[in-house]
Amino acid sequence: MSPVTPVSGITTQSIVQAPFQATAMPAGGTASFASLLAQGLHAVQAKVEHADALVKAFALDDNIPVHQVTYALEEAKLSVELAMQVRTRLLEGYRELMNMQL
Amino acid sequence: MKAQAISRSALDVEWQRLQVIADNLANANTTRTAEGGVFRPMRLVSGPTTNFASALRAGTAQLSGVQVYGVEPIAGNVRRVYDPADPHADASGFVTYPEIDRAGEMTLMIQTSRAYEGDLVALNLADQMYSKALELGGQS
Amino acid sequence: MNPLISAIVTKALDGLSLRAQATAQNIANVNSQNYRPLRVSFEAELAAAASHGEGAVEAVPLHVAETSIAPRGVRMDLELADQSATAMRYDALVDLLGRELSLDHTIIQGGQQ
Repeated sequence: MSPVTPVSGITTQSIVQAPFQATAMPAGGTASFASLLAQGLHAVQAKVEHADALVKAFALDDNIPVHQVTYALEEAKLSVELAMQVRTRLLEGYRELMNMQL
Repeated sequence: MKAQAISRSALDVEWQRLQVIADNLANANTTRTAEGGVFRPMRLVSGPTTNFASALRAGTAQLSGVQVYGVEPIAGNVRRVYDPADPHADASGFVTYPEIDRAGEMTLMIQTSRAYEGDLVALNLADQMYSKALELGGQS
Repeated sequence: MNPLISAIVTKALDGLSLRAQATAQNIANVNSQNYRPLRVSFEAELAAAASHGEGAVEAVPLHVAETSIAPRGVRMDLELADQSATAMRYDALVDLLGRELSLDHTIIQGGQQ
């Protein structure tokens, strides 16, 4: 059976944005989708760790400009929120799929 | 809360100091007080609060604010003016007036009022820190 | 939030809070004779402990030390400047701590409101 092709208009690309480094939808299907998600999560993790590192540096030393720290924290927060939204949408999509009468 | 209490104690002390200065200036011509004798100008002496209980707890005694140690007369001369007609004149016709150093009192008054303002600013800064800490958890 | 980060930030906040008290005490003693200004130090020890984990950070002691008697009394303007700087830094760290907590909150909520 051929892999399920996404309904036009609702592609992974439209849901996933920058943190997930979405490129053209690969023809390979689920295996690379999983790696796409993993990449995205790694990127979120990296942003959070970067923000943590800046907070630590600021707490130890006065000379870090505070705007760098607050901006890094907000970026981390945004990417976490996005990841959470993607997770929610994916779950919804999965549930809908499962509920479909076949 | 502690920083606010410290600044508050200082406001109290400086206020009392100001009262003593005002008293000195007001009585520049008082030849006889209720107790008898010429008015003696006073100086308020203050310093860090020391109390035995907190001195035992090492380190905390130093952060207890300030207090008035006492109000003492300023060692100084008196002025004697010859005026036998004055009801307060002594046997030789001299009236004794207190020698108030007006310039000195005014300088101290300015110093005291600056210290008072500084303590108000410090109090506000401490309040600000306290309020900010209360906001923790409020952002989401 | 990384436990090391929260240990560092909370220890720094403790230090700044103590510094605020010491500076308030200095300002309060502007008209005291022979007063020895107080200073709080912790930054150097905190920086050193940071590379040894949260246990070391939590154990960092906060010192209040007397300095020598200032020849012309406490410099109120400088003490006020220090108090202002301390308050700002305290506010900044509280704010950052709040943002870190908010980040954790977002993860815990998992995208559901």
